[in-house]
Amino acid sequence: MRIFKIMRLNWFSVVILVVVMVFIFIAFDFTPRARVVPLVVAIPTFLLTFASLTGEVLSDAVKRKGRNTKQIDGNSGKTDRLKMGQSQEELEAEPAFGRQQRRKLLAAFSPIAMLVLMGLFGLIGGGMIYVAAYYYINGESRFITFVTPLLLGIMMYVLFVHFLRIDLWTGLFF
Amino acid sequence: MLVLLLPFVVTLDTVPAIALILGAHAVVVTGDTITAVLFNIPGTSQSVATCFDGFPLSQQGRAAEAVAAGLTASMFGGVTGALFLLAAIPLFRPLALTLGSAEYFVLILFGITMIALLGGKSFLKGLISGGLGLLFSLIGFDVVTGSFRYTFGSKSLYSGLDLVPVVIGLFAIAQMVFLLMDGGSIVKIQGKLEGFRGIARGIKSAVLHFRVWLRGSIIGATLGMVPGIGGTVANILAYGAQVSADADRSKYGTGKIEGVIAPESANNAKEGGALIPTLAFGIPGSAGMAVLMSVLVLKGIVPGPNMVTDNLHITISFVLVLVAANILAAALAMLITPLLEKITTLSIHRLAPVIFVICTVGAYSVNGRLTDVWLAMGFGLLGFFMKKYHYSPAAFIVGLLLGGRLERALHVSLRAWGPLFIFQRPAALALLVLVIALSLWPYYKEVGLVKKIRMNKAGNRR
Repeated sequence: MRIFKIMRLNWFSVVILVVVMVFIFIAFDFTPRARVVPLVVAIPTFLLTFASLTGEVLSDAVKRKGRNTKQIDGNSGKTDRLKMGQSQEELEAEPAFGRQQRRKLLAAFSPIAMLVLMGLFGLIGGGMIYVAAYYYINGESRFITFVTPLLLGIMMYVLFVHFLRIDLWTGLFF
Repeated sequence: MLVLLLPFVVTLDTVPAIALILGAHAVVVTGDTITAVLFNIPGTSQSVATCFDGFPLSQQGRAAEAVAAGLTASMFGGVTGALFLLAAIPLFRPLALTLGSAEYFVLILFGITMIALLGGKSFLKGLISGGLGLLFSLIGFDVVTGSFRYTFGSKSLYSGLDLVPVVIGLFAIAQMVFLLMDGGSIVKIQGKLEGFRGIARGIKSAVLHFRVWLRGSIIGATLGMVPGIGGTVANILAYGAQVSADADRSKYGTGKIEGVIAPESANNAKEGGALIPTLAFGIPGSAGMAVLMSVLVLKGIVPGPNMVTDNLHITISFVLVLVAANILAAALAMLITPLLEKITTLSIHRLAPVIFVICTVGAYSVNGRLTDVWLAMGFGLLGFFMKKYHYSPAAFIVGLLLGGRLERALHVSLRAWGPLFIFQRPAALALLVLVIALSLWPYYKEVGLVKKIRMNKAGNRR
């Protein structure tokens, strides 16, 4: 990651570049007819990604050149920010903001917990437990915490199990 | 899912059986407007372009207006498509034979270029996304050469990537993760919900923008005639045509009602056009049309020239079913819109877990495979980073969807006309020139802007 910072590279564009390169290299193992379209698509995509990456690095270099580095470094301290007009209350509220951010991050990664629950208790059971647990941790009222997963379970049963005849009871991992 | 209705069709007479299948099939694209506008999740790939302006309108608290405008446009589009079918009956053959594989190949490139141009912040990244989508479409068994490509020995990849888990991941899961990181609710501007007033305004907007939906409908119905093109390209091209036709292009993508009306009219109108090759030559342009054709065969009707002679009454019933289904679906969807609008004001922490569960079950239910769930999650992660770094998930999906058809069209063209096939087909060449012009347009605009700024600066110095 440090190299990306030093080079000012967009790591995601680099990943795309590598993926496209893999597509190109593998294509050479195919029969001549089978490799036509992969190469026709992959080579221009590779060139475009390379151009995009170069453009990003160059535009960042131009921006950095025009920026006053002293100004950026000088504004990071607490005293400087107080001088800039940020109130003491705002600065003290920062840990709470950090907690909120952490909560959002946890929420975003919660689908992993959902998959584990679905693996253990089946898609309907696991899904219901996940929704109830999420609401409980999020401080929702008891009514919402119990009724919403129940309604969701009924809806999934009627639609998928009853009408579409899909087995959602068994766990994903078994 | 249309196949699930087949057991009910057996006991019905010909016209009611057609009404059931066609009615259900034709209005899928009416219902998918709702999720595209409310959650930025296209219900099917045919409403990808609807998200561009539909979701920003929802964020502005104008969800009811946007949904109603989209539904009304869908209805107008569906009816226009049906009338198009009626008018085109005598012209069945010459119309469908105009486009060959070479034109088809360039038309797909045109669709990807359009969505790259219109669907994101960076055109270059849009093109890269489209290219990536095309590359991912190559995974699996290649029917042209009979070999497996990019499967890494995994049997679950032999049949390629299933579109449903990929769409669920790229749009639904990625969008929910994005909203969770952002917090709050979908509506970013707090205020009173519009309810039926918003619906009335949406209907009025659609009626007043007569030219917008008429243009979209004509594009949709015309493209629908080409087997395999489908509503996705129609939806995108109608949006692109609308942006090009409007003098004030800068507001597209930030919540312009015309950006919802044009693509929605196109994807419904496409059904009328798609019926033309199905009925005239027995060439179904989509999976839905294939099911419809199987119903016709089941009832002892062979599609072909006799559809305008002996079986003309059945062809007319197709038209009437399309009209009735589109009107009924739009009316029913509008009735529940005020209720659905309230969802946009809910805290995202209430909404997200339910959507995650529904998405996972949806991804699993396609084939009953665990792989599809992992696929949805993986593409969810990819979609999140694509959005974060201004790549275009919409262009990726279009590439993935059209990749197989592009490959077939390329192979057929190479065999028929050789490597310089484009130059032997004037229509294809004209389309290719259009693609190149479209690709260069953003840079031409940028150069013009830079020149203007420099001239202004020079003027100020003097």
